[in-house]
Amino acid sequence: MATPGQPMFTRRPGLAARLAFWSVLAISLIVLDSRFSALGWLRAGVVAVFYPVQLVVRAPFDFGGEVSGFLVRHRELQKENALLRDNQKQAAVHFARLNKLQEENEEFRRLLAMRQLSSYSGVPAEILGTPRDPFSQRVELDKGSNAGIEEGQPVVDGMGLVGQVTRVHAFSTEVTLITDRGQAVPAQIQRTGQRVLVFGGGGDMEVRYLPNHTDIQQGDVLVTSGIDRVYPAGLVVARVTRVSRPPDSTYARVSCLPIAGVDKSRLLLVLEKQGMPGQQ
Amino acid sequence: MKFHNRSALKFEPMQEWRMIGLTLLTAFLLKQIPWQGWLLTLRPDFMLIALLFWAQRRTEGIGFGIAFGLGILADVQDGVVLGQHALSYCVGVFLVQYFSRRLAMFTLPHQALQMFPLLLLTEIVALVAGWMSTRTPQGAWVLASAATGSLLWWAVAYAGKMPAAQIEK
Repeated sequence: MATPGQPMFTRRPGLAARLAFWSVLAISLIVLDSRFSALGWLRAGVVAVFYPVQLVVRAPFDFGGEVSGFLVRHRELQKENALLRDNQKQAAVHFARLNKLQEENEEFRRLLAMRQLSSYSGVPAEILGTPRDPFSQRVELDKGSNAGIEEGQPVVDGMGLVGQVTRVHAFSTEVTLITDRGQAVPAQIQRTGQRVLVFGGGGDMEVRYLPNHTDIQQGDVLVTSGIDRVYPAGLVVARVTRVSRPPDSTYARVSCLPIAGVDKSRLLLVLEKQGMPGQQ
Repeated sequence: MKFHNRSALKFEPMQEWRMIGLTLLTAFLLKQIPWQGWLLTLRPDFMLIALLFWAQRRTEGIGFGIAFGLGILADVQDGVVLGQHALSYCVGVFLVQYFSRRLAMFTLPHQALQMFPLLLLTEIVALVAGWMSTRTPQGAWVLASAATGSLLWWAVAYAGKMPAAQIEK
């Protein structure tokens, strides 16, 4: 029963009206974030608040991984150990030669008065998780601006280029993988030195804008060219898996696969930004 | 014929709010687990299901404001453009509240079937919002969570009908 004085029909906006109001709010938020990037502070705040929660939830899974790692069979360990020792021997020989070559190279560069190649140094970081975003290939790392990471830094693993830092929070970092559709890497074919552009294609990658007659074959390795001043020269990017030259097109269709464990590695290295030309 | 008298069965208000908070928190934590591979593809949107369950069960109190806030949280969690999930969650709440009477009439398996197009539409709204604002999408598999979501709805709605969840005032 309505109490006396209470209006019989309350004028509350209808369901559709309320939906319209909140939709307009959400859409203006989308516009503000995507067109003007004006909401970084809001995102950073929410991330900072929920980062401890994320760590706590992950803890049992990390522990589980450690336990299963501990229970690896002895035989497997021995096998792995033998393999590693073999590799180590070979690597030591290579390394000795490399040292000598590097010295020679530096000598030549000095003679030619060229800029010294910068050596790679960086911050090691572990993958925290992969956000499920249908629009891009990304991973989240466990270090952020607290470790001196900045936007734009290249990220590698033991085998080659993995991606680029695109968003930095206080304690975590978002890395866009080279397989992301929005990513392009200036590279060169290791065999011929031809400069190419490698684009992400979702899971694989492709070389675009390469004239039909270009000398490129299946199995060719693409390395970064270093001309973009983002990625240092000589990082392994991808291996060509298929080349087709459609007769009705100006450009060859080249697909390739990343060599680095783009979706497998757990430990990554965030490399320092490359200096601008003229800087040492 | 068994008569499901839904309106007579209620938590005490405080208890219900505690329950709402607890389920939403659980959904949030479930989403934080490092999911990988095909599990990540099939993972239902726990937060959306929990939100829609409460939105359907009580049409007052749980509404667009809470959906909006949780949507922002989901946006940050997934690292997508802010507002994308806020919009889709609001659409989800609208659909569920619009059809709340109708949904209540069905048995649970049929309810889950009814939820499928509803969840699909919600996912598509998020997809379109993301697509308009940023880049091209990567495949239709992102809609898989609508199917697993409606299965989860079945389970959640079943839990909601259990005697323990129906303490009378």
